[in-house]
Amino acid sequence: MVFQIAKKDFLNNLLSARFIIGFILCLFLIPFSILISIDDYREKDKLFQSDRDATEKAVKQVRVYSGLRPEIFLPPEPLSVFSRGISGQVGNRVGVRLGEKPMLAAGQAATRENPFLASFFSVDFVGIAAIIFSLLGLLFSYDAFTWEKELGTLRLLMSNPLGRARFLAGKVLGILSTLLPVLVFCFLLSAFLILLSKNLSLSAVDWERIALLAVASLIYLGVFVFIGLFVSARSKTSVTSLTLCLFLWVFFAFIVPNLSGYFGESFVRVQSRDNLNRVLADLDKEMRKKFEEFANALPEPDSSHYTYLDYWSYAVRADGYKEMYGSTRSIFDRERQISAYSEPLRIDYADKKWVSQKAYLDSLIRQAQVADLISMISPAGAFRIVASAICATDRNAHERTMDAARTYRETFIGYLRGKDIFRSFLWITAARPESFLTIDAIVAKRTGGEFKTLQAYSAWAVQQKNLFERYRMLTKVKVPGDRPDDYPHLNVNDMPVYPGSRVSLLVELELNIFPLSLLIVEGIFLFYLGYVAFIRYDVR
Amino acid sequence: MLRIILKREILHNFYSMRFFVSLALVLAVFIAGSLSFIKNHESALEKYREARAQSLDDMKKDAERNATLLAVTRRAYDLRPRDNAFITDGKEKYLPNSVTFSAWNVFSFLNKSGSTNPFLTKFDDLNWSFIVAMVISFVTLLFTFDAVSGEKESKTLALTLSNPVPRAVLLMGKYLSAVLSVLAIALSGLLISLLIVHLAGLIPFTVSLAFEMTGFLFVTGLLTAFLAAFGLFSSVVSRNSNVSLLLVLSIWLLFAVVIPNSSAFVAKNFFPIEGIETVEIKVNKAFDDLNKNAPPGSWVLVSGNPFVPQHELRANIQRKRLEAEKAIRDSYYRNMFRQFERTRFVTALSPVSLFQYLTEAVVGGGYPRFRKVWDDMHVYQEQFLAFFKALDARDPKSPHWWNPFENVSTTRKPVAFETVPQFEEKPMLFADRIRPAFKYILINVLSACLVFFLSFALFVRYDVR
Repeated sequence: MVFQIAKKDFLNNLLSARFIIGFILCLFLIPFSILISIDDYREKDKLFQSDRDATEKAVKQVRVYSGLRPEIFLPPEPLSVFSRGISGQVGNRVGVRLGEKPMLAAGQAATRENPFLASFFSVDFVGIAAIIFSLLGLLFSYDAFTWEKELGTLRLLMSNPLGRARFLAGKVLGILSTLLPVLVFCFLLSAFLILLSKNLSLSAVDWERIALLAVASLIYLGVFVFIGLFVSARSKTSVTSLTLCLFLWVFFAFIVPNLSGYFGESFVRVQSRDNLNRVLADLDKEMRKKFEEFANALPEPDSSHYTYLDYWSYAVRADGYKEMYGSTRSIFDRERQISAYSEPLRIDYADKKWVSQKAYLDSLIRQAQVADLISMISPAGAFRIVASAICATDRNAHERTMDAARTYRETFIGYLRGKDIFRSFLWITAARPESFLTIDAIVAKRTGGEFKTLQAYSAWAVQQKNLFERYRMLTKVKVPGDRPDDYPHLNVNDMPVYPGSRVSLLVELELNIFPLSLLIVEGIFLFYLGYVAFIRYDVR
Repeated sequence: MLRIILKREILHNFYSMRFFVSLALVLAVFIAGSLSFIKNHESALEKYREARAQSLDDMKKDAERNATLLAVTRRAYDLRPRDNAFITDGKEKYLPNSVTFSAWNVFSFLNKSGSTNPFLTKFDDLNWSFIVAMVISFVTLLFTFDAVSGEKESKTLALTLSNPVPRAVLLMGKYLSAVLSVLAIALSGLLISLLIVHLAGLIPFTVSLAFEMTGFLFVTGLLTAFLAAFGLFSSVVSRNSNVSLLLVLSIWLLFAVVIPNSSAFVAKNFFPIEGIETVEIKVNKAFDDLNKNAPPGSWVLVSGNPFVPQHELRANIQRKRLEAEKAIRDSYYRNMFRQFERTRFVTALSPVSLFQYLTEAVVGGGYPRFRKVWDDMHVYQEQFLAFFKALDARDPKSPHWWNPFENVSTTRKPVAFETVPQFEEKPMLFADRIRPAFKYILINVLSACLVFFLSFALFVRYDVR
C-alpha cells in the first residue's frame, strides 16, 4: 500500500510543472556554479604554481644563511569547486620569519586582481545547492496533504483501511523518490563537468568526500521536505502552506546566512588591526633599541670612516637578512657578533609578539564561531558548515594549516640552531674567513696600487670635491670575492620541508559533529512533528 | 473606476496572509538589522577615531621635525564609517577604503587589513538596501504572481470582466495596488528602523537624511515597479497560478542570486585587464631606462648633510621616477575603474543589482563615494604640494632640489602643524549622486514600462474563462 501511494505521488510529481521547472533550474544553475568555481580554481592553481616555482628558485639562489626564509604556498583545495568555504578570503602564502610567528596567511588571491571586484559576491555549488534543494524540498511537500484535501481525494483515501502512518510513509517516499534522482543528477552533472575540465584532477579520497557531500545534501533536502510536510499538516489550504513555506525559505536560505555574520560582528568585538600593528611596532622598536645598545657597546672596529669602503657590498632587509662582501676582517667580525646577539633575541621577541597576535587571532575565531552558531538557526547554515568541512575549506582546516606552519617555523629555527649558524660568518657572508683582508690591503688592491694605505687614500680623497670620484678611484681594479656573484649558491638540501596538514575525513567530521548531528536531529524531529500533526489533521 | 479596483485590490492584499507574514518578517529583519548596526557602527567609529588621531599625531611629529619629512612621508587616509550606512553600506567593507598619499603623489588605494574578519564568509549587512533587495523584491513577486492566473482559478476574473471594466484599468489597478501594498510594508520597516537608530542617539536626524530617505523610498518604488511588472507578466503568460509561481521564483533567483553572483566572472572574462605583475614589470623597465640614461653619480646619498651637490642629480632622477611610475599606475587604476564600471553596467540587467547601485548613489556611499574621495585627494595633494613648495621657497638655506621620496635637499625648517592643509572628505553633492545614477534610473524605468506593456499586450489576449 505504501508503495502504491509512493508510486502514485511519484508519477504525479513527475508530470507536474514544478518538477520540470525545478529540473531546468538545476540544469542551469549547477553547471553555472561549477563552471565558475572551476574557472576560479584554475586561476588560483596557476598562480600557486608560478608562486611556488618562484620561491623554489629563490631558495636556491641564496648565498648566506640569513637570506634563508622558507615561504609556504598552500595549494588550492580541489574540492573548493564544491564549497569555497573561507578559502577565498584567507591568503595562500605563509612566510616563515624569525621575528614573527605566522598569524594569518598573506598574499590574498584577491590582491592580485582589481580590488573593487572583492565587492562582488560569488556563489559556489554548495551555496546554489542550499538554495535549490531547500526550494525543491519545500515545493514538493508544501501541498502534500492540503492538495489532496482540496481535491477531496484525501477523504476518499482515508475511508479505506489505511493507517495514517502508512499514508505519510507513502507520501515521504513519493517525494523523496522524485527528488533523489534530481539530487543524484546534480552531482553526476558536476562530476561530469569536473572530469571534462583538464586542470582539475581529483583523488580517490576526494571522490569519497564528494559522495559524503551528496549524503549530507540528501539529509539537508530531507529536512526541508519534513518542514514542508509539517507546515502542510498544520495548514488548511495550499495557499497558506505555500506562503509560509516560501517565507521560511527566504528566511533560512537568504536572511540567516547574512544575519549570522552581521550579528557575529556586533556581538563579539575584535580589537582594531591598527592597534595590534602598533603594539607589534612598539615591540620591534624596543628590540631594535636593544640591538643598537649592543652594537654601541662593542669595541670600535678599525674602520676607514668611508661607509662605501667599509661596507663595500652590503645588503640588509627586514627580519635579519644581512649579506656582505669586501669588508675588513674587523667589520666582518663586528657584524657577526651583532647577528649572534640579535637573531636569538629576534626569536624571543617573536614569542612576545605572539601574545598580542594570539589574542587578536582568538577574537577573530570567536567572532566566526558565534556567527557559525547563529547560522545554525537555519538548516542551510548547518549544511554549509558541514559541506565546507567535508571539502576541507573551513576554518578548522585553515587553522590546522597555520598550526602546522607555526610548528614548521620551530623546526626551521631548530635546524638553524643545530648548525649554530647565528654565530658563524656563514650567516652574513659566503666569503671564507681566511680571505678577509685588512683595510690597507683592500685600498691597495682596489686602487690598483695607486695608494698603498688608507692614509694615503684619505689624504687624496679629502681634496676631491666630487664624491663620486672618490668612489670611482676604488673601482679601478676588480677584486675577486667582493661581490655576491663571485660565490656559489648555498646548498640547503638538508633544510626541513613543510609537511602539510591534511587530516582524514573522520577527524574533519568529528570536529563538525555538532552541525552534522544537528541536521540529522532536525530532520528526525521535524518528521516526528509532521507525523503528530498529520495524525490530528482534519481530512475533511 | 481605477479607484474602485485599486481599493478592492489593496484591501484584498491587506487582509491576505502573505501581507501579514511579509510585514512580520520585514519588521523583524529591520529591527534586528538596526540594533546590530548601532553596535557595529559604534565600534567602527571608535576604531576609526583611534586610527585617525594616530595618523594626525604622526603627521604632527613629522611637521615638528621638518617640512621635507612632512612632505615626503607616505600616509594613509582612511575613509570614515558612514553614518547613513544603515541605509546601505555600499559594500564599503570589501571595497578599497584607504588611500596612500604624500605631498608629491596620490599613490594607491587598498582595503585596509582588518576591515573584515577573514574567517567569516562574505555577507551583506542587514541594512535597508539588503532587506529591500532580498525580502521586498521577493514579496513584490509574491503579491503579483497570481494577480491574473489566481483570479482565473477562483473564477472571479470572468465575473469582474463581465462588468464594464476595461482590461487596461483592471491590470493597472492590480499593478498599482501591489506596488502600493509592498511600499507600505517597506515604509513601516523604514520608519521603525529610523526610530531605533535615532533613539540610540548615534545619528542626528538632519535634512540630508530626510532627503536620502525619500530618495531611498523612490528607488524602492522603482524596484517594486519593475518587479511587479515581471510578476504580472508571469501571471498572464501562464494558465494556472502554480506555473506562474514557479516562473516568478525562477525570475527572482535569476535577478537576486544568479546575476549578482556572476559579476566577478563577467568582469574577469568579458572585461579582462592586465595583472599587477605586468604593471610591476613595466614600472621596473621604466626605472631601468631612467637609470641607464642618468648621469653618473645620480645615486649618491650622503647621510648627515642633506645639501650635498650630488643630491641635485638624485632629486632629478627621483622626480623622473615618480612621474614614470605615476603614469603607469594611474593608467592601471583607470583600467580597474573601467572594468568595475562596465561590469556593473552589464549586471544592471538585474533590477536587484541595479537597485543596489542606485541606493549607493542615493546615500552617497560605496563605489561613487570612493571615486570622489580618490579624485578629491588629487586636488588636495596639489594644494599640499603647493604649500610645501611655498615653504621651501621661503627658506634661503634650501637649494630647492625637489626630491619626492627622501628627506633631503629641501628645507629643514619645522612647520606649524595648524597651517598644514588637511584632507577633509566632503559629502557628495546632489549632482554628484544623480550623475552616475541617471543611466540606471533610465534603464529601470524603461524596462519596467516595457515589461508592463508586454503583460498588457498579453492580458488583452488572455482567455479569462
